[in-house]
Amino acid sequence: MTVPSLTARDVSRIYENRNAVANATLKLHAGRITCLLGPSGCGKSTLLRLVAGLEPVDSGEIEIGGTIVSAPGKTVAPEDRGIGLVFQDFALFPHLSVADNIGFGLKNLPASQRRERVMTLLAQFHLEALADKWPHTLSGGEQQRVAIARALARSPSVLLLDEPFSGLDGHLRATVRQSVLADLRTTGTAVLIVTHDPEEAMLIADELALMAGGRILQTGSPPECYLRPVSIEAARLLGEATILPVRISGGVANTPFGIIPAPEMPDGEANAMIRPEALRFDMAGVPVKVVDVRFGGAFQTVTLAAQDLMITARMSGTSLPEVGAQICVSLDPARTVIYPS
Amino acid sequence: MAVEAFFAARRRISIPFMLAAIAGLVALLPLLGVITTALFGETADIAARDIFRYAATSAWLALFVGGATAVLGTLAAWLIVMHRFPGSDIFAWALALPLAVPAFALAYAYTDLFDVAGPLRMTMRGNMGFDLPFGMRGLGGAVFVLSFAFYPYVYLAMRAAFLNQSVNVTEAARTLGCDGWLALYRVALPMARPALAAGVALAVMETLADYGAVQFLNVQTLTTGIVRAWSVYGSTVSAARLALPLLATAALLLWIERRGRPGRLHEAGNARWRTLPVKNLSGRRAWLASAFCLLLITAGLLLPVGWLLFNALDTSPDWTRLLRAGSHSLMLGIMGSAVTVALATMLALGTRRLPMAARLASLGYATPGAVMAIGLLVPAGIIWNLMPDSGYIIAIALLIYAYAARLMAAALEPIDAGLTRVTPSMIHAARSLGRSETSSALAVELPVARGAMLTASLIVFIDVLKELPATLILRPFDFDTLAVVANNYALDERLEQAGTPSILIILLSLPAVIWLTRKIAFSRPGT
Amino acid sequence: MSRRAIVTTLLGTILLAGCSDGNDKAEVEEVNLYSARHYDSDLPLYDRFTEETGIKINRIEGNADQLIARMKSEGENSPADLFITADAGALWRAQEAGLFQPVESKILTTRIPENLREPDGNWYGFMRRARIVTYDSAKVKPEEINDYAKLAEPRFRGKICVRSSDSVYNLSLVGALIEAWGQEQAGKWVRGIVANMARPPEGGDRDQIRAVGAGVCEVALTNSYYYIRLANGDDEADRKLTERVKLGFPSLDGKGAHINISGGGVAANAPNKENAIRLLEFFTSAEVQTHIAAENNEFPASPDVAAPAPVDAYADFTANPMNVSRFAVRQPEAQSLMSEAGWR
Repeated sequence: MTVPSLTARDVSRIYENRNAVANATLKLHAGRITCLLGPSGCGKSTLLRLVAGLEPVDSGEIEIGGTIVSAPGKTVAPEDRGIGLVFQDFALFPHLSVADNIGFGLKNLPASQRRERVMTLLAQFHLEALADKWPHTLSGGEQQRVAIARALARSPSVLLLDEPFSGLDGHLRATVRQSVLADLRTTGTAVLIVTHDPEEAMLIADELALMAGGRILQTGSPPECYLRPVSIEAARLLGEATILPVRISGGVANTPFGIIPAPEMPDGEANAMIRPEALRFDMAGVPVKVVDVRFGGAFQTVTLAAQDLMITARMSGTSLPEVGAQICVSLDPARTVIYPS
Repeated sequence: MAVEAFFAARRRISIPFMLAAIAGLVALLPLLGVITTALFGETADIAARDIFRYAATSAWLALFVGGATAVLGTLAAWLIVMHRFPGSDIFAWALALPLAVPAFALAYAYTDLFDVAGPLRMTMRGNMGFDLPFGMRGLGGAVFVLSFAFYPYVYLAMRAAFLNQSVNVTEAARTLGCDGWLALYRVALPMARPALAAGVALAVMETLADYGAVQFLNVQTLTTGIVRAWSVYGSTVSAARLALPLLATAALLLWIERRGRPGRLHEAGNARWRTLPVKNLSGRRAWLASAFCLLLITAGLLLPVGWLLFNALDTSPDWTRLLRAGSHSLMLGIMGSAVTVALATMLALGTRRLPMAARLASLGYATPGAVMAIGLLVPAGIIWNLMPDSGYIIAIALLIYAYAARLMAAALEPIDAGLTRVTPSMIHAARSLGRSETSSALAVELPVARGAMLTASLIVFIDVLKELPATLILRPFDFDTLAVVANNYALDERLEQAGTPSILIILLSLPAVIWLTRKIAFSRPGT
Repeated sequence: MSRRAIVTTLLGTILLAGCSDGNDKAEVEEVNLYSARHYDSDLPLYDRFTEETGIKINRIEGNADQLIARMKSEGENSPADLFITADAGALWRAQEAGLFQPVESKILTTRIPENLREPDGNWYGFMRRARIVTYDSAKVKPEEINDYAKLAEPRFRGKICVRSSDSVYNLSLVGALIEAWGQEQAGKWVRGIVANMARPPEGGDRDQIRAVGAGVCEVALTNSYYYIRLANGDDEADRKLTERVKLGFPSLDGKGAHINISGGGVAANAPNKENAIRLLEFFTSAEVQTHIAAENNEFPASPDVAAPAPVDAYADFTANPMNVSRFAVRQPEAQSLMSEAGWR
């Protein structure tokens, strides 16, 4: 892998004796999209502000392109870091046209070069027709494109986006997201997107950073994080998961819903994390009782019970089991993880 | 939070912060002058009973004028923004015209018009055999006069707020069965609360600071006590001491006003604007609406100014003197508003994280003119003693300075409101795009607040034309303004002659007022 | 012309218009006048003085106490040469603040009677105004109001109009009563007046006179010149009113009506002391006294200056010889008495 465009090493930020960010380490790479995912209040926005230089770090350091830009007692101002910022509310300047908004950061370029650069960006983000429009006349998706084009005008090595898609209407959101990200990848910038939506994060990220309580729990590719979360907390961040207490004997965990191989675990008590889609119909599996069935189009959400334990399963197939019926199921070991208790 | 913000601001002493500190100090210096005067020196003994009576009168006056301006201004703004009725286009700007009429001129006109021995009531008694059951002199008259003098502050603020309300919210309210007056009461009004608070605060502060009108209307407020302490007992010290509770009250009001605001209301950049649903009134409702607006304009402008004009017809004014005074008024108005707005802008930009500090600098507005004069003499005395031969230019500079200190609030309120359109993220965006704190203030905050700055300068301009106490005490040799000339005649009980300069003040302010109101009409984006 | 050009031109014009006022500060003889008199009729006098002497008058007008405060702040560097005002109380307060210097001038002492100037020569009166009454001649007999003491008697319960105790003229009158009668008796008189008031004090002197005309009250305390002005003014209704409402001159202890002055004193640090004295002397000249009496309807201070029309018709009364500095000192006492008695 290449040298990271940005490295945050063990950075902390303390608010009134509370660690808003605690020893967070994060690396951003050119041309790759990193998603910082966590529930609201987990410190992800603060971490973004630390990276942007809007707040000083209390410990640790941040390095961009080989230069330390943040360290205790030292904060290079946001304007001198070579980063781009896109805000949740887009923060377009209401007194400037679309073209002038995009050209805002290019104050030091001669007029001709400046115009050229603005034209390039307008084209790149399909905004040519809107160049002379006022921000308040644009749709949400258009405003977002302008905000991103503006942030990229100075060719920053790092682009930071704070909840960029949350201001968009539901049905627009997917299409806008897709095209914007496609355009973004062509720029070769290291991108950090802060979001609280796990599905969105997994869809768009090359790399995920899971955050909770001010700490970064795990970094890795979406499948890595989803299928092999380092902790129950991390597992829950990315999607539904049922946690069952299990007993391991002889490298195998026995659950009422099937067995899970656990070759490296010693015998004894443990916890099993089971994703809903780990359960599948299996005539050779264990019998369980169907408690509830919900039709969901591509799959059904089925609640199963065995030995006083309940589990939610997401099962494909067209034939719906009936409530009260007994079916036989087994577990897909790829979608389960055993944690020592 | 505030403490933390303060230290955050302290850590990096930026240029905007320093400029704001300077502007704040400029505004606060006369008040510090009042406080030092109050603390050092001998006092006269003014009967405690009198002081209590003055304070109670001031409190009632502020309460009633605040209430009346709130109701009149809000109703007028709601009618104009949300409805069409005969004359509504004209009323839209004409309703602000009383702003051009000095409160003291209103007081002259009304006392004269409704005096027991005045021509109107003499004729009524003589020919019609009945008399009006009221007179203008007294608390009721003062509430009447000051309410009609100051309601435009609320009207302008509320009109802008209603024009900028979100149609979505209004429509949501409609679907919930909330329409018409109910929508005003339950939705539009709560959302416009910051604007209402700002407008009423201006009106109440003007009321507390007024001396010319209340003195004429025979209402003895705290200002009366202050002037009495000064002119009878010759004690500026006790005058300053009497002013301290007034300053404290004003500070408290400002604090309450600040606390009452539900944070800054940002107009989000992605809000989509649609034309406001305007209702066409017809029949009796339409005429009622027209009559209400006409009543406001008649009481605040047409009747009193007409009466002054009618009386002034008999006089032969000294035009060369009036024109000279007029050119002085105009010069002071332009320079005063430029300097005040510049300082207020510095203050607003530098203290966005410290709104209370900026509020402190507004106290001069609620300070009675006589007290402000005492306070102003402290810095002025320093200048006079440092520069014994200080000539005309220094004197004018002092005067301009006095206006800035006294009228800071009038400029700060609209600029502050204008700056709420700049969200914190816009500033951060500008910073990340290579602008320093100063540069982003210049490139983003200033242009966005440009309209508000113009509004502020017009309001200050109008206020300078009407200003009396500071002008009286600090002006250079052989220097009259229109307000001074009007006041001289009024003091000498020559109301007919006071009419012409008063009318000239109104004429000079009219273009500014009309321009102001038209600008607000176009302030709604996307329509 | 572009908008910017128009604005620039406009601003430039205004600035020039303003600056041209004060820049002609060449080596001309001048005198700086701080005046609490602000009558248009005084303006020609200033021109006349400059014409006669070549001395230019620079003027600041304002409320007497603000001018005093300004002189105090200016301190030793004060440009003030001469301070003039229309109440002895204000002159005394200026003296108390150390703002005057005693002046010896033969002209002043011969022209101005002893009781109308400060004994040490700190200030001199040049016009007289009497604080007297107007009365409804249909209801009140002249002998009922020929003594200030009678105004406080039950005869006039609910029949008297008077302005508030904020008025320096009222303060000076009560000051004179304290000087003549002592605190206690003057206090009794003040309480009597308060009991006799037809309405709470409101308005100015002119309003009191009109109120008598309108039948609100029978007697009003007022300064002489307000009545003379109404009786000889342009307003027909006012002139008609004075046919019934008459001017009466109550006496204090049988020695005559209470007299206040317009007067002035030379500033302690006057940079142009000689010119200030000349201007003060000018104010006391027969010509100026006659002019002011004719225009502003005050009475001349010099006994040998004849009152011109229309003042002459009212000038034949006995003036109380009490020295003006005696009652001026008592204004604060007067205010306390009046406040205690509920005289608003």
